Amino acid sequence: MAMTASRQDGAKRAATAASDEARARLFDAGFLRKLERLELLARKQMRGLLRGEHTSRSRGQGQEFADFRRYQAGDDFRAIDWNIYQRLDRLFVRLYSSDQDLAVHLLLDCSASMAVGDPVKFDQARRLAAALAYVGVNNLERVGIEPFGNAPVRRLGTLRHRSQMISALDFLAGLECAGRTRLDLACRELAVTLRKPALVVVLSDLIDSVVPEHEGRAEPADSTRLEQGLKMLRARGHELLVLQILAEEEIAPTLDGAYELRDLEHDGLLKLSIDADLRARYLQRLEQWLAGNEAVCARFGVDYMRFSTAIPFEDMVLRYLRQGWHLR
Amino acid sequence: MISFADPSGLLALLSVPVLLVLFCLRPMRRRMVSSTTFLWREALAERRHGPGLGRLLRDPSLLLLLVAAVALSLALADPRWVGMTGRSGDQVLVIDVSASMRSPLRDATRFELAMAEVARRVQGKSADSQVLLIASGSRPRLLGGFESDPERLTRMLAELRVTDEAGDPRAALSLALSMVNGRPGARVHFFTDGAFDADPALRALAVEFHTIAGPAPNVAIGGFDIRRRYASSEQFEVMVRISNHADERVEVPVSATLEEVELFQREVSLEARSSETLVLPFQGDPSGVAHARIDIEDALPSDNVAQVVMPAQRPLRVLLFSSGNSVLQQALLALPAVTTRLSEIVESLYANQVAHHDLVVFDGVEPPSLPPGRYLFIDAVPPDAPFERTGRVLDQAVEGRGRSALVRDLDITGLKVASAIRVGFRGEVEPDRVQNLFWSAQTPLALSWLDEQRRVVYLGFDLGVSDFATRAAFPLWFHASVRWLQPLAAPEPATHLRTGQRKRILLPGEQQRLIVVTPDQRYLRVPLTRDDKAPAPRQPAWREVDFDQTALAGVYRYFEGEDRRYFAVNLSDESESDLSSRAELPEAGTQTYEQPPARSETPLWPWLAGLVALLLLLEWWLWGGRRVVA
Repeated sequence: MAMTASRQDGAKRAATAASDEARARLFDAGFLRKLERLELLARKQMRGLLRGEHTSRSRGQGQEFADFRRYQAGDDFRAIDWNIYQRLDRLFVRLYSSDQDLAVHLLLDCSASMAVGDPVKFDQARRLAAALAYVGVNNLERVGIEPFGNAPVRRLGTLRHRSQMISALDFLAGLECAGRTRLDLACRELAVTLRKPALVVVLSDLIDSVVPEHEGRAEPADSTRLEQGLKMLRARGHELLVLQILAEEEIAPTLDGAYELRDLEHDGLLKLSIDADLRARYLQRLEQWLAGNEAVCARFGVDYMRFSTAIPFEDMVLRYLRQGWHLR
Repeated sequence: MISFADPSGLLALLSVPVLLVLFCLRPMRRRMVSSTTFLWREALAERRHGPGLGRLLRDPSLLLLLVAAVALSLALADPRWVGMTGRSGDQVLVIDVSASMRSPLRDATRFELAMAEVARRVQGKSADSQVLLIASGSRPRLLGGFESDPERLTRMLAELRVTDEAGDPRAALSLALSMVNGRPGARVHFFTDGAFDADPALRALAVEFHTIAGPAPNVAIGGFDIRRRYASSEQFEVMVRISNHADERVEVPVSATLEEVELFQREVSLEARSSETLVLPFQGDPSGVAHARIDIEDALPSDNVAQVVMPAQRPLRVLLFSSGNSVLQQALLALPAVTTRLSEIVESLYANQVAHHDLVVFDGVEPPSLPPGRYLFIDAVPPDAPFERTGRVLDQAVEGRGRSALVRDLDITGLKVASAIRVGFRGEVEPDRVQNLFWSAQTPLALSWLDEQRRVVYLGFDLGVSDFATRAAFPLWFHASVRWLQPLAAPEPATHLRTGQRKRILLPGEQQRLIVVTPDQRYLRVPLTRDDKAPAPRQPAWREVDFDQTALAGVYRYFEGEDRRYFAVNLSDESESDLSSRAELPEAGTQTYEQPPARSETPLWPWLAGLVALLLLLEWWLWGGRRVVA
């Protein structure tokens, strides 16, 4: 028994050491300096755009007008701006910001497909999650990091204070990629768990293909799982932001010649000779798939952004998130 | 059973190692991990649904391979670029080396003048042109292959000698024209004295004739021979034919000697362009080397002498075991050069008796055994033969005869035999060993049989109980049978050949070397080929060797076992001895030939092979050169 305990202690120590190493690699001093700078920039942005230091992004039944958006089935008729309707012949509803406490949940994809790219997609996703968590915690929001995948993952409690960022970074550094992506299950689980509407940010490559048992290979992917997941969260009133992270080689492949490709999520082998024609067809299929994802997000009023791992982390946060809904 | 109509097609198997090498050199697929393969799978599936050929042709690597395959196929088909070119400088120089070229012209011989002209042509040729040299004697002879190096050509010419052969220009020119076939613009030049009969076909040939001729009165021995007279081995006749090829009458002293013994000497007067044949009988032993000479200074000395070798005659030794048969003894006596010994079988001496005779005749007597040798059985059956006595039959008539040379021309129709041995064959008979010569309704009457060591002629009845001995067919059959039994012991004719003619030399089987000494005292070692070493049916084994280096007139000698043998070679060609240029050949440069435009064929396969290599390298680069590892 004592020996078993000793072994468990040894395993823990090894895991801790690996986690420390990953943390040092992912979140080095440079990264932390960038976070500080990012936080200042975020504050400046918010001061310029919003009145208060801390305003919830939960638009709806508050006291203060925030924005317009197009009318959707189920919206309160009382919120319709009839003046605009008279002018434009289109239905828009008025949105108000409320001062209620905002919760941000970061759905982080930990499937095996995130383990590729240069830099690795998963590393970029973790850095992005850390940045968002840092910004959120500094804005006195509650931040939850929800890793998901087909393999079991650890959970982290909700972050409320800046002091909890250290443990958040440790947590992120200790995550590993494994298994298949099941975005629909992750969204359903989160939808069931959350009691109040929150901002849900999905950090994923959205590669979510299904492998039929009888064929043993991935069937053509579409956006069905994404649609199912978004539908469940939106039905619970959550605001959503989908950040699709893709490796540069996935967006603009340069492979040429004979290859044997191993699918990380399904462990299948594909032998093929890649030439310009096949690359063109690949890009065509990729565009169709990305357009499908974008269409699904648009249908549910979800902001959708994608970026390549080739873009530096800080640029990604500033250049893209600044244009996005979250920091607007 | 599998057979191959064209076994050379199996050479295609050589492509197997090439394919193996190419396969080994081919880069392996690079293994990579991918976040997902579904997009690639969809792209692949979409491409598979596209137009097949178009899809294939969009792959530059495949296109290159296809072009390489086509180029390789073309290369294997050996394509040639056919074009029209001007004349090349290639030449075939045919030099007449026949006996008439020995005749003098100005300060040299015709041959020397011809060689000088040939040498000038060789030295004056262009550097890239090639020359082929052919000597035209009784047979055309290539002095080498097409050669562009003047020094080598000069060395070839230096080894060329004029011969005593009669020329055959048509054969030489046919060979020369066949050699220029496929060499556009190549020309044939013939350097000759034109001392051969006019041949219209030669004038039509695309040949430039260079005639070196001049007046050359000549008197020649056109024929010389010695023959034995059939009546007696001591009597013989000498035949000499003298021809005057000059345009004026000549008086010629003619003499003949046999082993330095003068046979005759007389003066012969010959009109212009006439001949005379002398036949003179003589008595004595005609064996040895005989010479005939005419004592005259003319243009061609080599036909002023002729030789004949008369082989020493060894009598045929016949041993006759008989109780007395006058017909048989008379028949043996009638054969030339035969010594017959009548004896009885003494068993203790029998083997020795047989070994010391060329032919053993059993007349009504059957021997205890049949050692190696030659035998004639009359009214007796040989032991160990494939046929055996089965009884006796009476009053037989000949009903048929076989196709053997022993009975081919015999008239034995209605031949009656009062009593004959009845024989039957033992088992199956090999037709090339036993031949039925003639037969009655009930039994073979005459047979021939041979094996590796014995030859036997069998006559199944006594000559006294048949009318065979009284017929004209009997001496013919008897003579033919004796010759078949002892071919080498038969009297040989005089041994002499014409220059250039092939001499067939018979050697004992155990002789491993043959050296022939020529009239100019050169020792020529004659290779004994495998075929020459094949044993002849006769024992001991004999081999036949062909000797064809008989370009010089004179006496040749060699060893047959331990016996020295001679044979004589003479020009003996009236046409060749006539040195006047009568071929009516056009001079070089005076005749225009309708020569078709020269076709030049340039093989393209080396270029195609290079293209294949280049394409494969390019394909290789496309395949493995632009690799990107993600």
